[in-house]
Amino acid sequence: MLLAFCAMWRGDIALWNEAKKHILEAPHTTEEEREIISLALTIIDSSVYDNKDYPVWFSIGNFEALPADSHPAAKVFYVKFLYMAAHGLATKQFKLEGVEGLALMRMIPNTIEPLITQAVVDKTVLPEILLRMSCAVAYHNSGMKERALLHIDKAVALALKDKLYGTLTEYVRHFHGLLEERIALVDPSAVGIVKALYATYSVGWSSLSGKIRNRLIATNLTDREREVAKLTAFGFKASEIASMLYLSESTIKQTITRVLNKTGVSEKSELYLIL
Amino acid sequence: MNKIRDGDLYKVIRVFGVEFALYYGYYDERDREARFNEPIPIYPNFYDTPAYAADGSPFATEMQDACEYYEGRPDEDTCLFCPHFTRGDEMIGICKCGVRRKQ
Repeated sequence: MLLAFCAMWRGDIALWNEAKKHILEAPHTTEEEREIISLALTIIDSSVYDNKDYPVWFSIGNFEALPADSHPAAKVFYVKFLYMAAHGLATKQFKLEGVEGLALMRMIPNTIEPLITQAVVDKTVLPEILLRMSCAVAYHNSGMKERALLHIDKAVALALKDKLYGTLTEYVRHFHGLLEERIALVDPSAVGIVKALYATYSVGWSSLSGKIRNRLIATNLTDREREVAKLTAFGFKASEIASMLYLSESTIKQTITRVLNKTGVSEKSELYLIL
Repeated sequence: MNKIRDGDLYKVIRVFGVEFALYYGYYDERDREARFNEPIPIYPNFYDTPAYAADGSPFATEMQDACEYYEGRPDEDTCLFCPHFTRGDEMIGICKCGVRRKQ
């Protein structure tokens, strides 16, 4: 997975393929380790190759939290996978019977919260940070801003204490300026560091996704444009987005149009391709 | 880089022979109070204040609500998606459907 993350940051497709090979060939001795490897591969395939081959437990809607004694890495990968599945459902990339739109996005914090509690008990700081940030993204997308902020602030405090700036970097694109604002409340000097890391990550990730999936991830959108594009991709109408962001409908319609022009996307239903 | 302020000039453009000066601002007072509260280029409201190209075609913006003669895809409702809309520059174009042409 470290090789995979390096590949993402560098936009290096050869390194990416090497990472996948290592993961596939990784030895495992227990069923739990096999599950971790399986989830790691699913996450890679889902995020880059757009693979829809989800595990059986997902197809039948079994989203229960992993056992308390599961490996911390398994919990982090499981949560990342749940989020990607929720995002795919929200942007209509696939369908799941009985679950539509943001329904799964709203449900997954119920699965993540017990995992966070266990991470606190176990004093596993890195998993706690990653779990809290994933939970915060789900809350944020579901419109539960206060709960998102609770987890963001706790994760930021933990990460900055040990200068773990990289753990926050991949989440910058999900919060459209909000994460930087919360970091600034704790340590203003850290904002520039995280932004610089994000700039590197963003270029690498966009390049890698572009090479493999033949689609360009937009890196030239403002925070407002990205937030409006995301909500449009989730299927919200301009009037609904205006209400959610406390902006006028005229501003929302103009922003959507500008995003379409900037990115070359011809239909709003395809906005998820560039986010 | 200087921060953009309400009232700053965004651009002066020439579209189908007509000049438009676009300024930064807000469509609604609530936009000033929102989290994303930076001013944006404000475009003319061609429904309230019609403008016409030399051939009588009415100007329209890509994001304005489509009129009753809209013939674009049913899941969209702005002029951008109407086949009668001809793009110009900076999201301003003209409508070529003829029904609203100035005689």
